Amino acid sequence: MNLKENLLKVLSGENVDVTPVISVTQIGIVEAMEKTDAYWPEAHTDPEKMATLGSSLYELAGLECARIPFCLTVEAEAMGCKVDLGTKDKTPLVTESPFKSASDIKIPTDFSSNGRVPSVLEAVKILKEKYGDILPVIVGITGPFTLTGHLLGVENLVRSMRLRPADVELAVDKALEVSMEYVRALSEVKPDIICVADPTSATELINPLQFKSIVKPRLEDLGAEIDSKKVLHICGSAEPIIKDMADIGFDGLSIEEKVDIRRAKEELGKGGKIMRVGGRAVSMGGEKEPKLIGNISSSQTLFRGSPDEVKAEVKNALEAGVDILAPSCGLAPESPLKNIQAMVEARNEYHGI
Amino acid sequence: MSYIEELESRLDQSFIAIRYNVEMEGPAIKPESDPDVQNILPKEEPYKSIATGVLYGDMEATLNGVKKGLEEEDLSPIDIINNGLMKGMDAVSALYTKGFYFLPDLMLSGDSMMEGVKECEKVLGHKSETKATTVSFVAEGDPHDIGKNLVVMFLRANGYDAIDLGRDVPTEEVIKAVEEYKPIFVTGTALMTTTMTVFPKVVEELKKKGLELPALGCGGGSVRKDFVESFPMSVYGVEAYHTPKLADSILKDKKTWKELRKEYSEIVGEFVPEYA
Repeated sequence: MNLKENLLKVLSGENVDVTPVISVTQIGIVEAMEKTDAYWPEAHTDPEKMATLGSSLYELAGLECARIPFCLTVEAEAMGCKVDLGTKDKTPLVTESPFKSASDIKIPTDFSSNGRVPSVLEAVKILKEKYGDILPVIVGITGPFTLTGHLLGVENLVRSMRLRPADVELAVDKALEVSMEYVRALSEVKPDIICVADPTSATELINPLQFKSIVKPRLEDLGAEIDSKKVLHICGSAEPIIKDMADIGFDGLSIEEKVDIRRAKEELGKGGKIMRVGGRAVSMGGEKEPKLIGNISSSQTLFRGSPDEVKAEVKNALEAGVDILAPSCGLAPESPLKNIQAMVEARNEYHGI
Repeated sequence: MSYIEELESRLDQSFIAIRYNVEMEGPAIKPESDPDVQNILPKEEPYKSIATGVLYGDMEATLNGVKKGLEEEDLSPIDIINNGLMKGMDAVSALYTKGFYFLPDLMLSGDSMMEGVKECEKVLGHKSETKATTVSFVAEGDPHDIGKNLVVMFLRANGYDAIDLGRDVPTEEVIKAVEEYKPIFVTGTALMTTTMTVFPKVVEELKKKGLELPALGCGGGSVRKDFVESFPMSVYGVEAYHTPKLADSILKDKKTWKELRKEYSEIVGEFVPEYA
C-alpha cells in the first residue's frame, strides 16, 4: 500500500480498503526525540532536526505521515512577536507582541524569510526528497483568528469580539494576509497537505455566530489560496460550528473527542463547493463532503492511557465511521511511543492486516 | 388544528430558509425575558437596573445605577453588591450554562460587575469584609489565564480575598503562597495537556511539607475529571462560576475534597453532566 496515495485518495473522496492513521497536529514526543537525537527546542529551528523529528513517528511507530512544525508560533514570530521556544517537553509560546491594536499590525515585506519560516520550508524540501512518493508530508499553519490572538492577546481579542467587532475584522484580515503569504511560500515547496489549526475560534472562546460571520469567511479565502489538500483543525466542542466548518470547502476536518463522530458525519453531508466572486470566496454548498479526521484523545488516552485503552478507543472511532484516524489534538510531549504504536496496531487489527 | 399548525407538520423544518439577520442575531428574545433570568433578577429599583446593566455587560449603565443607589437613595454598598451586581452576574451564569451566552459575554459582564464593586468599596472606605482567603494560579509553563481570571473574578465578587498568583506559576511559588496565606481553597488552571501534569506535583510538594488543603480545585481546557481524581486532595472544577460555591461549602459546611467530589452537583446547585 502506498501511504501517500492512500491518504490523498481518502481526502479526494475515493474509497480505500484501509483507513489511514496519521496526525494533522503536533507529533513531537520526548521518547522519539531520544531515539532520533532530534530534540526540542533545536528541532523548532534546525531544518534537518525538524525533518527527523517530523518523520520520527513514521519510522518508530508506523504512523502514516510526516508532520511539521511542532508549534503554532512560526507566523507570530516572523511577524515580530517574541517567542519562548521552551524545552524538550515544553512547547513554544508567544510571550510578547509588538502590536497593540488592529491598525498597528504591519506585515514585514520579508515575511517569508523571517524567523523560522525558512526552516519550515527547508524541512519540507528535506522530507520530500527523502520520502518523495511514499509518505505524505503535512505542514501545520496557524489559522488567521488564532494568529490575531497571538498578535493582540487572546483575552483582548475575545473582549473586542463584542465591544469592537469592526476592529476585530480589520485585524483578522491582516492576519489572513499573513497566512496567505505563508501559504504561497509553502506552495513552492509543495507539501502534500496543509493543516490550518484555528483553536482560538473554538466555541469555548467565541460565539458560534461570530465564527460564522467573522472567522468563516476568512477561512474560506485562505482555503481558496491553498493548492494542496487542506485540513481544518478546531479544538474543543466543535459541534455547534461543524456545519459551518464543513462548508468552508476543506478536504478534511480534524476534531476533538468532545465531538461525536456519528452526529458530526450527519452534518458533513452539507459540505460545499467554493466559487470565487469579486476576489472573495463564496460557498456554493452541497458538492463535496469533507472527511472526518480524529479523534483519539490526546489529553487522556494517548497521553495517560494504556495501549489497550488506545486500541478500544480506535475501534470505537472506526466503528463510528471516522474517515482518517488521528490524535484529537497535538500530542503531549510525554505521551508514550507504545500508545502511538497501539493506535496503528488497532487499525491493522480492525482491517485484518 | 389550525391551518398553520397543519402546514407546519407537513413541512421539513430543516429546509426552511432563515433570514440572514435573524440567524445572525437570533430570534428577538431579550436576555431579561428568559424565565430563569426573570427569577433571578431583582424586581425593585435601582437593583433591577444595576443587575440588568451587568446582564448586558454595559459598564456605563451599571455604574450609573450603582452611583444613583449610593448617592441619591443612600443604599448600603453591601446591599448593592449582593442584591444588584451579584444578581446580574447570577443571571449571566444562568444564560452561559444554557448556551445563550458565551465567553465574551461572561467577560464583559464580569468587567461591569467588578467596576460596580469598586465603586461600592470606595464608599465603604475599605475593601468589603472578606469571607476568607483563596489562592489561584495558572500551571507552570501555561500562559493561558482567561479561565483563572474568571475564577478570581467570581471569587472576589462573592466576597473572597482571592490572591492571584498570575500565569506560568512555578510550583514552589504555589507552596509558598499556601504557607503564607493559609487559604481555605486553592485553584489551579491549565489549558494545555502538557501543563496539567503540574497539579499532582503541587499536591505531592504540599504533602512533603506537611501542608493539608481542604481542596485544590483543578480545571481548564484539556483537564478532565478522571485525571484530577487520579491524585488526592483535588476536585475537578467544571465552570469558573462554580468556584465560589465550592469555597462556600468548604467555609460553611467544612466540606473536604472527598465530599466535594461526591456532592459536586448538589453544592453548585445545578445538574453537572461531568458528575452525573
